[in-house]
Amino acid sequence: MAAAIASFIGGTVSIILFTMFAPPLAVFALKFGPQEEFALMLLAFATFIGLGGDDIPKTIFSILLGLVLAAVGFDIISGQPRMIFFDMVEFQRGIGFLVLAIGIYGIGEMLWTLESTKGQIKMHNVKITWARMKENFGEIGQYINSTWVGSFIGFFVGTLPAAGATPAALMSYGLSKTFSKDPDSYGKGNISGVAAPEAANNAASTGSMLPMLTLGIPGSPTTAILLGGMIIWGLRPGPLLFQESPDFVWGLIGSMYVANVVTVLLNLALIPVFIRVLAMPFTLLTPIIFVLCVLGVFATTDRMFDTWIMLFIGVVGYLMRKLNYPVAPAVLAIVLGPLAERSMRQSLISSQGDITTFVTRPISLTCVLLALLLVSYPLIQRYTRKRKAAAATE
Amino acid sequence: MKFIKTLTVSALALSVSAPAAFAEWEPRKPVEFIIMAGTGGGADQIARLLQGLIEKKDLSSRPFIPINKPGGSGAEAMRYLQDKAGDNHTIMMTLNSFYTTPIIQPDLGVDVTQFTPIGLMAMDTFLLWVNSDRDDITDLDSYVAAVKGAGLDWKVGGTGSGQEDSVLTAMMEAAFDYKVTYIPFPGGGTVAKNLIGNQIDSTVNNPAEQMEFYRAGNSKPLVQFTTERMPAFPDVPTAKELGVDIEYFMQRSVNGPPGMDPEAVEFYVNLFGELFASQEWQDFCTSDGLTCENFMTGSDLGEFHKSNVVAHTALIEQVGASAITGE
Repeated sequence: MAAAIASFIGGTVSIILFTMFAPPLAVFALKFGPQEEFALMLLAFATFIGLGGDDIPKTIFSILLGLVLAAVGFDIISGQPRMIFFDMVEFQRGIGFLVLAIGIYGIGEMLWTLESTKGQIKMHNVKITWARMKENFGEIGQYINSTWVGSFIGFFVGTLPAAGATPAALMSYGLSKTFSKDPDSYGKGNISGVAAPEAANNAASTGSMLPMLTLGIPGSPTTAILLGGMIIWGLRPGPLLFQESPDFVWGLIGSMYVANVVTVLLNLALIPVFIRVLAMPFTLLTPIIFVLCVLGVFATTDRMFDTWIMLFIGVVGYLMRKLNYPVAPAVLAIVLGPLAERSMRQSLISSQGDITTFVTRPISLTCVLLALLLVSYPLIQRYTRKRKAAAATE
Repeated sequence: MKFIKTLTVSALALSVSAPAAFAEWEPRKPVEFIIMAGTGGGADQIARLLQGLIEKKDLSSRPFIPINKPGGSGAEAMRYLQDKAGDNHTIMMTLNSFYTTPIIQPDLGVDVTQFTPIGLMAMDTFLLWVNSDRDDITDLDSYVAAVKGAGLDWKVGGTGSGQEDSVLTAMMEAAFDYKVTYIPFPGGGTVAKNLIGNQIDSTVNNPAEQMEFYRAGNSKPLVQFTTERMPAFPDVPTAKELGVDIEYFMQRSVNGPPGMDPEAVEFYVNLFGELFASQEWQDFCTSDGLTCENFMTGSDLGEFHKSNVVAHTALIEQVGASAITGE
């Protein structure tokens, strides 16, 4: 419910921004060189610190683990194989985001839930009534702020070529958790934690249309397919598209409005069907999840090797949860690690090794400062809390 | 003539060995159409156009799914294809890094002459581009002067060390006796965008990659590295005309993994042959400055790959592998 509404708001905000500001935003996207991209990644990593809760060293460990796994495969600049464990050629293809995410969130979570509930989990049969739906609509106020955060971050991150929806969703989750009044409730049923990434995800998919239409660079696999479709019909995305084919461009933008409305209606109408999954006993759900995890990885990578890696990572993920290490930062690091590495090395090559290149450009400087602020925010927050507590006991 | 003869002979030879199996083979699951470069680049645009045409013309009962594997200047894609030996449902859109990357990285363990040649779709080329804001650069001489003045501050964008644009950049460094800083990006489209955004100073992009920015007046070509001027760029001189002996072409061919079944090869050859002859493809070639005169296939394409590997080995030796990798 919240997901559907947040998604709708995120989508609508970003289409309105798109409609009004597409050409100036395209110019802004051009200002984003490697330095700015790296600074943005730094900002994204800074939002993770807030993600991991109070134990900052454990969060940093988790980020580093993700970065190490992301480095497996080919060096992205020189193309040399690196971090090939046990000299197995299978590692040359690297460890995909999907393999890691399914391992940690599929297998790892499953093991954790099995252990913590001893299989005795009770699912409730939720009844959907108009009264409940109405009540749900009334709860919008609880998550509207994180929905706005998600919508704007999603759109802007989405418009940058090669960033895409995943970093946008993760960043907005981290941000809305950092600035939440009650960060501990994230991941334990706080609806804002669903709303922020849902809004960002949808906003970013609209945002990623921008570099595709105005620069001819698809920011995501979906827009790459659209690009192919447009070339067949003789439309060449680029700076002239808005002038040469206005009927097509505005028709496309119009269709995005319609699609957004249709999606939210479908989502709301189908809630009673989706919710049936919750009524399924956990003993039945577990084997289904396991089969889907294995099948999912094999279907996308076509290798048993990746399936084994996924299962292994699942066990690691379970151990991390048991030892109270946050797992989300590791998943984020494997998505953003390669992007950050590439942009950092590009920047340093172009400045011939001069590290000040990140702070001498205005956009990049702003991002770096924001990142520093974000990293120090939890520390300041803890300090003020302690002082307040001390003041209260006196 | 020789080409047609070989084709007939090989067709005859094949028809004797497996008479009825021809044309009966069809994909039984979606075909992975690997692109050994990033999104928005020349190879990507071509592969996505071909994939769309396959669907539009209903040439295959199963879909072709384009997948970009740009890592390590195509190393990732080639390793992937090598691992798929004997698979009939994976094909790859290649460019010249198909030759250069395995030469520069012998550890990769890939021998491209072992891959199954399917069809040569086009010969592409490169032009030298600068941002149209650079009023001080109007021709090759003023370009060389500007680069020499800037020294290592001059930033050339490309698609990766060992990619054909880095070979061409090294060839230019040798010819004009200057040194530049070469910055690798994940694809030709991103390179083009960074030139327009003034993040880099010059590029050697394919015509298709810069075409829309060129038409919008954001970038300007200085030289083309072809034998003769392309119809799409009648006012841009060739390097040869200016007395510089650099000529460089890029092949755009479709290849399969080693050990594909001959029936499957036959299916793909027919399919891409039909696409090659289509009006849509020929129109794309004209507008984007590609040369699409004959559809080379089978052992001819295999020989073509072999001679290109030899030529690129010599070229890399001449400019030095270190000039390309920047080490």
